Amino acid sequence: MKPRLRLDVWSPDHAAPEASLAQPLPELQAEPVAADGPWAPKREAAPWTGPLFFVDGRFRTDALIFLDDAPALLASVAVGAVGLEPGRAFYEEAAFAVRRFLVAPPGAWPEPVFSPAPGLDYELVEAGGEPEALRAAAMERRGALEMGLGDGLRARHPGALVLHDGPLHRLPAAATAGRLGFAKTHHRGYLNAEQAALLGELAAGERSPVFTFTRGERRFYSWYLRLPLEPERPYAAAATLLRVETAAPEAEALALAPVSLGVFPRLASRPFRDPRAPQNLVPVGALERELGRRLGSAGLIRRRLLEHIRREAV
Amino acid sequence: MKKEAIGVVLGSREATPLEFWIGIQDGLVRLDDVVWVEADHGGLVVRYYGMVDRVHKVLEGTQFDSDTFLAAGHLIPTNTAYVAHVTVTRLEPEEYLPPDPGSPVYLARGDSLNAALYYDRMKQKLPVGFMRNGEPAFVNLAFLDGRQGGHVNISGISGVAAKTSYALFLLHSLYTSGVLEDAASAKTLIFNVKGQDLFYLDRPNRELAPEERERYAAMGLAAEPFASVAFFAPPRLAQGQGHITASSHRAEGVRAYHWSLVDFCRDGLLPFLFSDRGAMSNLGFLIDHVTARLAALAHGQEGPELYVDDWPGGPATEADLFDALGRVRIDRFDQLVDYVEAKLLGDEAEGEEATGDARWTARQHTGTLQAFVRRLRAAARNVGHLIRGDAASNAPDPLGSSAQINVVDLHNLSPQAQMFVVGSLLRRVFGAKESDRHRGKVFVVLDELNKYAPREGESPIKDILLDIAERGRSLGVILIGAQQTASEVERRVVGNAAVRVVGRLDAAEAERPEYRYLPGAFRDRALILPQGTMILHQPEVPVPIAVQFPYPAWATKASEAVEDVSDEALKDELGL
Repeated sequence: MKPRLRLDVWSPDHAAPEASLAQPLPELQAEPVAADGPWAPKREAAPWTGPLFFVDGRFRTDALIFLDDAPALLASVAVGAVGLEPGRAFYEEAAFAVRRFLVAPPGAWPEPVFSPAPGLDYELVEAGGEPEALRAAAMERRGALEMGLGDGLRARHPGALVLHDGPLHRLPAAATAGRLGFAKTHHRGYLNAEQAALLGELAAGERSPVFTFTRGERRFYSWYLRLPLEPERPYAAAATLLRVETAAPEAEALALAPVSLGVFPRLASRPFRDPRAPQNLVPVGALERELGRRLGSAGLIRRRLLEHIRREAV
Repeated sequence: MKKEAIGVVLGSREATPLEFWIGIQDGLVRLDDVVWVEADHGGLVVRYYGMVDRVHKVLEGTQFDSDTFLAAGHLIPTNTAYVAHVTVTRLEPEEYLPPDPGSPVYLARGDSLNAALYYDRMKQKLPVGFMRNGEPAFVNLAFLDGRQGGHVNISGISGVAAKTSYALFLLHSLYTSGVLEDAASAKTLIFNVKGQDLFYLDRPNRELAPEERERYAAMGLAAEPFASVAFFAPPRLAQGQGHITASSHRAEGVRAYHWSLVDFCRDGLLPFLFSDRGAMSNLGFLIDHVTARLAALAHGQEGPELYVDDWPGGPATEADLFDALGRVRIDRFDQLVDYVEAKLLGDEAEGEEATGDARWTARQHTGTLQAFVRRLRAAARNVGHLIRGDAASNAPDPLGSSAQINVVDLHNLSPQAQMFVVGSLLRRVFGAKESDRHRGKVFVVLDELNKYAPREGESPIKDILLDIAERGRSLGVILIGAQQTASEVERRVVGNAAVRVVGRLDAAEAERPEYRYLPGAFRDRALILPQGTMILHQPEVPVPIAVQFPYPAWATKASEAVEDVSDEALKDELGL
């Protein structure tokens, strides 16, 4: 028998959303939340009347340099938020930050800041030797910046819902209210095979019931929802799935689950617009372009670095 | 006069000493707005003045055209970029350094506006309308009255472009602004070619709104009709001998104009009946020859009728056609045609060979002679009421007239008669100025230049117009000419006009090289100009200016005239 042919939606240049809807690791095995009803598709959507903020960050490795023989990383991070409220889509200037980091092994760079050119200041971050570890340290900074940005937004707009592009496990416990994370790719499974069978049945605009799992010390509530995608084709099962999660208590999680159905499906992007459609939501795509703009030109930064190195070498 | 900056010079597009783009932060910037920028080039401060000739808005932060739908649905944040292109009109000092991106841009008002448009250098500024920003627009009088340049040429579609209205507004400004020093002695000859629109120039316009009066006042002009106007109309066609009345709806103050047969011959007006002199090789020669014969014939005669003593076969049936000396009396134009025919073709006019008087035929072939007579015969129908033997000449004499403005109606004349009247009067005016009989300026307003000075062909009237165009300004004869299509008018007539004005143009016409002096944006706009807006170009200002002019303060038809017209209407209905 010929296998069934299914296309993954994302451009193959990007990590596939269905890297695995694999069997969960034993410690991440989820439990359905009984209060959300039987294990069946749900489509009840609730509106969100307050402002919404989508928070995202963009990371770029500007250069890999060597301090004597020690490898070090120059990285730039831009984080920002796009706000949506009835009748308005906007950037809040206070919700943007660009930070640059020199990630180097301890003791390799003597000063707290590396400034190869005016306006180009890299803060020193010390991290252990391997290039992967350097990158991980820089990414950690990015995550912290995004979470901090979300905190600031919640503080300035108490009635707002803050939506993080990416999972929330870095979020400090005190700031969980009114925050949702959403995962576009599914590297980890949470449901066993029997539960996961439900995902194939979800139609566009439907979600799974809420389930819960623990990661480290933290308890998370999460659910899958299916985004609409035009034109409609029999795409791969996970191709249009978004996993939403919150670190808030169960009652708030149950209240936010229908809200997510009111928010996400209408913001789904389409393949001609974004290679990561539909999960890379329309406002987030716009935000990413804006963040790229704020990161500055990589070519220009590289030229400044070359000039600096030539000056230093003399 | 420092004001709030409206934007900055853009760095994302080239900023050059002659043109640059500006981004607009505050307020509105539209086409024709005048702006200035100052840039410091290491201690050398250059001020750039310029005019906005392009504006546009685009959404930034969008990838696809359809992103606009998302932006309108408030799903993605975007920024509206409001951008204008500025063409530099002047740099002070004249250092051609590019302005720095990011330099603040200010709207030019008052002194800076005067500098931008070189008004500060004009000794005599003639108000010619309003700019979009409400400030008056000026023309340097020296380029209009003949000192440094002269003549005005106006192009535009009939009925929409308001060419005549604008020409009248210019005249009004010339006469009442006080800028033209010898305005009181300036004379104007206007030909009325449409309806009798110009026959109420001396009456106030009852439809002039108070705010229009204020617009006149803002330019320093009086919202009044023309003070000193004389009206001339051709005689009515069907009427008895001895009583000549003007063909006009206006009851009083209109004089019938006509020429006597003797004056027609003596002044050599015959060529103005021939508009196709070039049609046959020898026709022009024959016309000149017959003109000379007629002049000799009229010499010493008092008129208005003409006596000839060499026409035995003349209309001998009526006894009173002969005078005491036995000469034949000619007192109608068609009789003159009969006489010329007899002289040229002889008695056997229908025969193969002409047997005319050798002194008249100038050894021309019969075919040429017949062609001449045919044309003259056809003219008799058209000008018979204008050239007559029953009354002394009463032709308009703009220079001798006490009126400043002389309106000559042509509208119900045949094209041939129009040519004759225009040619005769222009020659009279130009001749008087050449012989220095009149000191003041003379303005000639003539529409349909394409008819009188066409690009192709030659005619006596075209010669006169060329003379006026090329030599007139030094003699003080200023042509305010107009036409639908400048491309169909003799190039030298249009080319000699220092001030060029364009109203609404036809799309094909706007593409022709005659309008290349307008930048592209202005040519595009000329297609949609509303009535009352013109684009004006003058030598001293490097960019054209769009000007609006106020509603006429004078009546342009009977119903607008403030005076009670019921009497007139009544007389008209009774056929008086």
